[in-house]
Amino acid sequence: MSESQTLPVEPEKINQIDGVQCHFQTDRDFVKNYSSSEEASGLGDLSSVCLNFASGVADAGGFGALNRLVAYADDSKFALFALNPKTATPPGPRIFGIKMSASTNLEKLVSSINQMI
Amino acid sequence: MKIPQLIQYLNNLAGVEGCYVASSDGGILGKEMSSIFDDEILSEVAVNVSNVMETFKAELSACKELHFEMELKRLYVRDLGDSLLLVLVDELDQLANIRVAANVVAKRFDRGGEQASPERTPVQTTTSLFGPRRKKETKPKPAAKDGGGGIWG
Repeated sequence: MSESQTLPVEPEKINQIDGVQCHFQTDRDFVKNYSSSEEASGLGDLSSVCLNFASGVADAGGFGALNRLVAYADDSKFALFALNPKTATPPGPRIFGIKMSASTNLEKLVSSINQMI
Repeated sequence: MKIPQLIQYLNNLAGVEGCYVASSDGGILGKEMSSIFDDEILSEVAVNVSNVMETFKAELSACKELHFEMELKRLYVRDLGDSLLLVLVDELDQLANIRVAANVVAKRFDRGGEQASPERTPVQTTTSLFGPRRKKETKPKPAAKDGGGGIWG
């Protein structure tokens, strides 16, 4: 796998957000540039596969581009989403995969991370 | 609870645009959806959703629900064991209520254990669980919107 030239966004700050259990980040080409743990790395690996199938969902239904994918388990959830800087130049768009507690408010979390970019 | 009751119950909820139950191989077991979605479309959606669910279970073993937020539609999915409940959601504010209702009917459905016969033969696909579905690309396309956007358009 090639190495990403994009630096991760404030990984330690994101790890410290209440409810966050682990997370990974990738660049616009889905090349990982940060994993907080082995679990996060594993989630990153399978997320690329999931995105491919998820694009099949969007394509088949004519639902438009996929903006966010959330998987819910009993006591946690995992969200995959993209955030982009205001100017689409380097460091460019980034993709985040975050596992968090079930009670974490995803909208607030995304908003917090968006402010870090 | 049988599939027609389950579908009727969910379709009466605020925020539900339509729903259907499908087997993991895309067989449609029951539906109440807009006519713009024919069985072939619903089947292909279900097969891909099933693949996403199974892939996630490799790391999130207790994964039972998925939520796809797309440009034009939102799709909520509940694992029913041998089948999937797929709900088109038109009001994001109602998602929590829909999740609660889906969890309730999933438990009742599990206890009932009775499933209808598929209405049609499942669509044959070449999809494999751990391989890319399309040859044209294997990585998500970037989105161009400020502060968020599509991760695969």
